[in-house]
Amino acid sequence: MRVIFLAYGATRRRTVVEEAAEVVAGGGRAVVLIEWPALWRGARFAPGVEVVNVYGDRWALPRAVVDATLFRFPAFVLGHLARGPFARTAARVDRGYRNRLARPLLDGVVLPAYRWLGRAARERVYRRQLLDGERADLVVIGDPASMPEALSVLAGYGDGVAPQLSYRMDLTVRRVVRGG
Amino acid sequence: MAASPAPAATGRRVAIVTPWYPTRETPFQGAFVQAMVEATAPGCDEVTLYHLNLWHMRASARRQRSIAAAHRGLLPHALRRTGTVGGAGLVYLPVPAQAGTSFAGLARLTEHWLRTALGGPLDTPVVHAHVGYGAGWAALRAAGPGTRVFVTEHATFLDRVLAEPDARAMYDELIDRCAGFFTVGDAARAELVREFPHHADRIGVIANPVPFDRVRPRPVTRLHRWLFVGGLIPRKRVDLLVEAFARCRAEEPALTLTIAGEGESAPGLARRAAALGVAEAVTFTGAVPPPEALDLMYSHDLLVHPSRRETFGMTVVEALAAGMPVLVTRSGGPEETLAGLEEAAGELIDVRDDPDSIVEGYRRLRDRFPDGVDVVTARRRLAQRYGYQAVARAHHRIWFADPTE
Repeated sequence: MRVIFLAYGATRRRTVVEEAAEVVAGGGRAVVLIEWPALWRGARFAPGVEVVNVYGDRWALPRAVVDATLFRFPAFVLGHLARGPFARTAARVDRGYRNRLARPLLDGVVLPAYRWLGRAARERVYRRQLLDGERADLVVIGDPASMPEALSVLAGYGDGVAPQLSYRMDLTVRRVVRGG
Repeated sequence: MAASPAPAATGRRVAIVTPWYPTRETPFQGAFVQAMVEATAPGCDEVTLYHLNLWHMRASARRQRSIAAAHRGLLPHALRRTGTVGGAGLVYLPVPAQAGTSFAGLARLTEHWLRTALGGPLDTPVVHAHVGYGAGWAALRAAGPGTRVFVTEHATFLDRVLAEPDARAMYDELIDRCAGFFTVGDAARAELVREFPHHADRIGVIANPVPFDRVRPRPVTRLHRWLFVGGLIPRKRVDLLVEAFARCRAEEPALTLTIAGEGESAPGLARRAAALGVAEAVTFTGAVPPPEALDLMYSHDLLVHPSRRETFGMTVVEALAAGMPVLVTRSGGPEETLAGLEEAAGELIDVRDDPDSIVEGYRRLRDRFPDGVDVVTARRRLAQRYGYQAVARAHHRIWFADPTE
C-alpha cells in the first residue's frame, strides 16, 4: 500500500507523523509532501517514511533567511531569556510571537509568494508522486492548507481512476457517506 | 475497530454529534464521549457518531475561501463512514476554522459543514450532541422535523462562551428548542441556571459513564507511585503538583510521579522538576490514548488531581474504578461525584494557589492509609452511579421514552 500525505500547513503534525509511521509499520510506503521544512523541525518521522519538500531545493537561500529571521533568531534570544524567574514569561512571549506574528507572516506573505513562484516545481512533484510513477492507493488530506492541493490532485486524474481520498488514515473504511 | 451495523428498520437509531473525540492529535479530548458511545450504542439499533473536528488555520480571507471551496469539492470523495466503539459508525468531518474565530462563528461554521456533509437533514429519531455552543447548535439546525435533539454540556469555559452576545443568544435558543439539555453535574447545572434562570426546568443532569469491568489484581498497599492524567494546561495547576511532590519526596525518597498528558505547561514543568532536583523521579509520558491512561492507573498507587475547575472529573472516577485512591481538589465535579465517599475514596483538598494544600492532604491521607480508606466500597458505590449500565439506562430512558407520555 502506498499512501501520500498532503501536509502543507503542518498544523496537524502529530497525526501525520504517527499515521505515516503506521503505514510503514504495516509494510506499506508513506510519502509526506510538505511545503516548509522549518515547520517540521523536531518532528520525528519513522525510518522509511519519505518526506518530500514540494519546492525541492529551490530558493533555499531566501528560505534560510526567512527561517533565521522569523524563527531561529527569536527562538535563540527567547531561549536565553527563558531561565529562572523569566521562564514562564519568555515561554508566553514565544508562543504569542509564533502564533501572532511569525506564522501569520509566513502564511500570509511568504508562502503565497512561494506558491506563486513555485507552482511549476510543485506540479512536477505532484506528477512524479501521484500521476507518473507507482500508483498511490490513498491520499490523506492532512490539514486545511492541503485541501486546495488535494482538489487539484483529484482534478489531475480527470476521468481516470483517482486514488481514495481521506481526511485521515483509517483502514476500516466502509463506504462513502453520501450516495453510499 | 468494528464496523457499524447495517441500518435497522426499527426506531432505536441515534446520531451523536460532537466536536471532541479522541484522535491522534488529541488523544484525551472527548474520552467521555467515547465512553458514552461505548456504553449506550449496544442498546440501540444503529448509532452514528459525527465527529466535527476543528482544524485550525491562519489564512488570508482569500485563502480561506479557497480552502472552503476545496473542502466542499472534496467531501463527496473523502468523507467516509468507519467504525468506532460499541459497534457505532463514525463519520469524521474536519471543520476548517480560522484561529481566533469567535464561539458564535465556530458554531455557525460547524453547522455549515455538518449540513454540507449531510446534503440533507439529520433524520434519525434521536440526535444527542455534546458541547452546546458548537455541536449542539449544529445538531439543532441540521435536525429534521421529526428528530428530537438532546444536548450534554461538558465545557469548563462556558463563561467565555456566554460573554459573547451572539453566542449567548444562540445558546439561549438552543436550550429553548432542544428536547432535553443536560450538564454532567449539579455545579455545572447551577452555573447554567444562574445564566438562564428562565430555563431552570429545562436543564437536567446526566453523568458521564465510566467503565468498571476491569478489576485490579492486587490492592494498593502504599502510596508511592503518584499519577496525574490530563491536559498540561494552567487550569490543571500541575505546577503545584510538581512543587508538592518535591517536598513530599524529600520526606519519602521512594515516591515517583508520572505525568500523562501534554500541553503548553509541559516544558516549564520539566524545567521545574529539574530545578527541584526530582527530574529522575518524574516521568512525562506525553499524551496517551484513553486505554493507555487506564493502564497507567492500574500500575500506580495514587491519583493526584489539583485542577481548579472540573465539570465532572472523569479521571477521578476512572482512578477509583481502577482501585486507586485519589487526592483531588474540590474543583466542582469531584465533590459531587465523591459525595458521601470522601474518606473512602481518599482525600479532598481545597483549591488553593500554593502547594501546601497538596502536601498537607497527602500527609493526612498517608497517615490514615490503608485502614482509613475504603476504595472497594467507593468503587462499588461509584459503579452504581456511573457504571456503563446505569448511564446507558439513563440515556435510553430519555431517548426512547414516548414524548407524548
